[in-house]
Amino acid sequence: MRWPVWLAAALLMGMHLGAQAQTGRLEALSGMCADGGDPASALTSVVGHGSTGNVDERAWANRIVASIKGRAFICATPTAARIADGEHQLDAITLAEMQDRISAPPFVPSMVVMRKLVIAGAELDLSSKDVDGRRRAAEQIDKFYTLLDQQIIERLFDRESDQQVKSTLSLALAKRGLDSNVKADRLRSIEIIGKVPGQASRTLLLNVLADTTLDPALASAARTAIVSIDNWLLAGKICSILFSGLSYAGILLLTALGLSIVFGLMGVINLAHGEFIMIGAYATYVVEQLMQTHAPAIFGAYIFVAIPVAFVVCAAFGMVLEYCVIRFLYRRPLETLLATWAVSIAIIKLVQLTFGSQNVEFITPGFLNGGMQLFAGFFVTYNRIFAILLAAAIFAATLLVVRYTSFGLLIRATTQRRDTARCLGVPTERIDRLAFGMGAGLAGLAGVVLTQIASVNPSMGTSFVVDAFMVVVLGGAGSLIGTALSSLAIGELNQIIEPFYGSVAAKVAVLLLIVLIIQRRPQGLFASKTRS
Amino acid sequence: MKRREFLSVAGAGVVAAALPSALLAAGDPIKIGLLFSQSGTMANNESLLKDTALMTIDQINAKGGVLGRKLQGIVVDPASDWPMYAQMAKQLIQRDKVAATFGCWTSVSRKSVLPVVESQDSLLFYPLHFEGEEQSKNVVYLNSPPSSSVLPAVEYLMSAEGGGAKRFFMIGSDYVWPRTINKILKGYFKTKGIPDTALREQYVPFGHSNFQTIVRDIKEFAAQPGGQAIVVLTVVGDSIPAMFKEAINQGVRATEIPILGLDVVDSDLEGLDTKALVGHLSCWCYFQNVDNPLNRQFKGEWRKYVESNKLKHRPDMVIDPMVSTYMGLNLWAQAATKAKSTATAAVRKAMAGMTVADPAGYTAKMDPGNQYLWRGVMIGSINAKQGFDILWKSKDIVAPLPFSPFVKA
Repeated sequence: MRWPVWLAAALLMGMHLGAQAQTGRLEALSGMCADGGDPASALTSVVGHGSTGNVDERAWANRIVASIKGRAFICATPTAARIADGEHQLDAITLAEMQDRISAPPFVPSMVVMRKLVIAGAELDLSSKDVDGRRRAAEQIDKFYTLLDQQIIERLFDRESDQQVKSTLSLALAKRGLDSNVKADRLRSIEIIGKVPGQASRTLLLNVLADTTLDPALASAARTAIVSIDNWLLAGKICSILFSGLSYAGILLLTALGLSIVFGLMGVINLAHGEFIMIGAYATYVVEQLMQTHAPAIFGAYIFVAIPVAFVVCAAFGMVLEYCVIRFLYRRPLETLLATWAVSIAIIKLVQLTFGSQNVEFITPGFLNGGMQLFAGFFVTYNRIFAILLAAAIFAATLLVVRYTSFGLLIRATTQRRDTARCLGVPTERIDRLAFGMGAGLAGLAGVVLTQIASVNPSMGTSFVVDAFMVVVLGGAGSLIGTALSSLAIGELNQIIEPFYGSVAAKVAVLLLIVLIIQRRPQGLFASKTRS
Repeated sequence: MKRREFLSVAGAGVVAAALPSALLAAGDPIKIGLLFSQSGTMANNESLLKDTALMTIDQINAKGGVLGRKLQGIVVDPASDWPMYAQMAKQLIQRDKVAATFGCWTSVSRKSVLPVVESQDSLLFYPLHFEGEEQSKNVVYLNSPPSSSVLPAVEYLMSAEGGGAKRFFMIGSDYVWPRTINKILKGYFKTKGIPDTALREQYVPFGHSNFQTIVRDIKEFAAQPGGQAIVVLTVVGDSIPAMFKEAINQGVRATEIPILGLDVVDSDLEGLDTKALVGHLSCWCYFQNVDNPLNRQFKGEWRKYVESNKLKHRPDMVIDPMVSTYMGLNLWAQAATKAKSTATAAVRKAMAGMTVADPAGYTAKMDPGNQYLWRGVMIGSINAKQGFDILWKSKDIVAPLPFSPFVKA
C-alpha cells in the first residue's frame, strides 16, 4: 500500500493548491494509469475539469494534454503519474518538481486516445487569445467532428470573433447537424457542406442519401451538392495528375540536364553521372551542417547557399575526372564506359568511408515543409513546387549558356567538328574539360534539389543514372530542348498511367514506348542535324 | 577443372566436413559462419548484424566459450548478390568447416542458401521476420512468421482501442514478401467479414521514390465512406523514407490515417522530421525502448562495442534483427553446451524446447516441431525522437505458425 504515502506527499507539496482543485485533478486523472483503466475517458474528464475550472485548472489540463501528446507523461504507479520536463520530473497533479527521477517508459497513447488528444487540445486552444491557434484548432475540430462536444463548441462559436474560425466551426457543427431531426437544420447542413467541396463532404452527403426514407427535398439538395462536388473533384484530380507529372518531369530534367551535355553533346558515356548527383547532395549536407553550427540565424537559407557550392564542388570534381581519366578515352566509348563505372564505384566507396552508408539527415527549411490545398482534391507540396521552379530556372540558364554565350558556341563547335575547331584556334582540350565540368556541376544541382525529395546515401546516384540516360536518349543526343521535352513527356505519361494501372505498369508502359520510339527514330525525338 | 572432377572434389569436401568435430584438437576455436553483406544495397543493414554477431561471440568467449573452446566468427561478404550467398555458404561449410552459419536478411538470399545447408546438413540461423510459408530442418527461424506477428497487430488496430480500422490500403514493394503478407491479410480480412471494396492493394517497383500519386490515392480512399482506413505499408529500403516524406508533406497524420509499416525500423526514420509522423506504427518482436534490465545491458554493451571498435554504426540504435541475431548465438551456444557437441543433429536435438532470454522482456522458446522461435509481438508507435515507443505488446510469447491457413484461400 504505497499510494497513501504518495498521496500525502502530493498533498504536502501542493499546499498552495486548493484542496478542491486538487481532488478534482486527482479524480480527473485517476483512470489514466490504472491497470484496466480507460485513458480515453480519463482524458475527457481532464478536459472537462480544465474547461469548467479557472485559469489555473485550464493551464493544468493543457499541460497534461501537451505532455501526453509529447510523450512526456509517465505512469509511475497505477495511481501516480509524472511529467518529464527536461532533466527534471514533475508531479502530474501539483506540477511540483520531484526530488528523484524514475526511469520508466512514457505513456504511449493508443489510436483512440490520440484522436481524443487532438480534439481535446483543440477544444482547449479555442479559448486561447491567439487567432492562428484558434484557426488551427477549428480545423482539427472540423476533422474530428464526430468526437466534438457540441455544447462546448456552440458556446465557443457564439463567443468567437474571427470569421474564419466561425465558418470552420459552423461546418463542423453542420456535419453534426446532418443527423438532426429537424428538416430545416438538415437542409441548412447539406447546403453548408455542399459549399465545401471535397471527398469527405461527398462521403457525408452519400451517407445522407443512403437513407431510403429521406425527404425528397433533402435528397435533391444533397444530389445537387454532390454533382457540384464531383465537378470540383474531377478538376482536382486532373490538376493533381498534371502537377505530379510536372514535378516528376522536373526531377528527370534536373538529373538528365548534366548528362545531356556530357553524353548528348560530348558523347561521353559517363556512368559516374549519378555519383555527381550524390556528391552534390553531400555538398548540400556539409553546407547544412556548417550553417547549423556557424550561422543558425539564417539556417533556412542553406539550400540556396548549397546551390553554388554544390555546382562548384561537382564541377571541380568533374574537371579532375576529365583530366585524369576521360581525356585519354575520347572516341573509345567502351573503355569510357568501363572506366567511369569503376570511378562510380570508387566514389561510392569513398563517400561510404567518409560519411558512413546510412541515410543522412536533412532538416527541411520551413518554407519547404508541407503544402497547401489549392482547391478540393488538388493539394500541392512546397518541395515539389521548389523542384519544378528550380528545374525550370536551371534549364533556362543552361540553354542560355549553350546557345548564346561564346563559351556555348565553343562547346558546340568542339563537339560537332573537333578538328575544324582546332584548326580555327579553339583550345579544344580546355573546352572539353570545362564542358565536362559544367555537366558535372549541373548534376550537383540536381543533388541539391533531391535532398528535399529523395533519401540521400552513397548509393543514391545509381537509381537516377538509368533514368537520366533514358531521358537523354529519347530526347535526342545533343538537343537540350529535346531533353526537356522528353522528360516532360516521360514524367506526364508516367503519372497519367500510374493512378489507373499502378506504378509498376506505368514504368513498363513508358519503357516499352521508349523502345518503340527509339526503333522508329534511333536518333531520338529531336535529333540535331549534323553532317556526320 | 571439368565439371565432373569439380563435383567429385566437392563431394570429398562434404565427407571431410561430415567427420566428427571431436577429431579436431580441443584447443582449436569453433568456427561460426557470418554470412552478411558488407557491400551493395544490403550493406547498411547486414553489417549491423555482422557486428552484433561478432560482439555476441566476444561475450560468449569472455564467459569461457563453448565446450571449453573459444568461438571464432568467420566473416564473408556475399556483396548483396543473391547467388553469391549460396556460394559463400558452401565455402563456409566446406572450406572453413563452420559449426553453424548466421546470415541473410532478404528472403531471396535465404532461399538461395537453403539448398546448400540442406545438402550439407548444416544449420542456418535466420534473424529476420519474413513471409513464412517455409520450414526446413536446416534453418532456425529466429523471428516470427506473419501469422503470429502481423495478424495480432492488425487485429489490435481493428479493435475499439486500436482505432477501429475497417478499411485497408495495402501498399508494398513488388516482390514475394509484400505479396505474401497481403495475400495472408486478404484471407484474414475475409474471415473477419471485411468486403473486397474496403481493400486496396498496390505495388511499387524496388527503389520507388515518387509517392505523390499513392499518397493522394490514400487520402482519397480514406475519405470515402465505409469507416476508418489504415495503411499497411510493406515497401522496403529507400522507399520507406520517401513514402513517409510524402505523407508528411501531404499532411497525412496518424490520428486520421495511421500507417502500419511492417518493415520500418529506427534507421528508416533517420533524416525525417518525425514530429509529423508521431503515432504511425510498426510491428516487430522487439523495440529498443522496451525497459528491462537485459535490454539495458544489451544496449549498453552495443554502445560500448561500437565506440571501442570505432564502428560506423549509431551507438544508440538497436533494432529487432540485431537482437534476434544475439539471441540466436546464445541459443546455439546453450544447445551445443547441452549436447556436448557442435554436430548439427545433436545441436538441433538439444535446441528443441530450449528457452533463451529475450531483451524484449520475454523468455523465447524454440518450437520443437517447426524450429521457429516463440517470440512476443509488439506494436511500436513513432515518437518525435526518431524512434518507437511501445504502444502494445502481447502478454506472452506467441506460437509461431509457419504456414498461414489464409494463403491457400
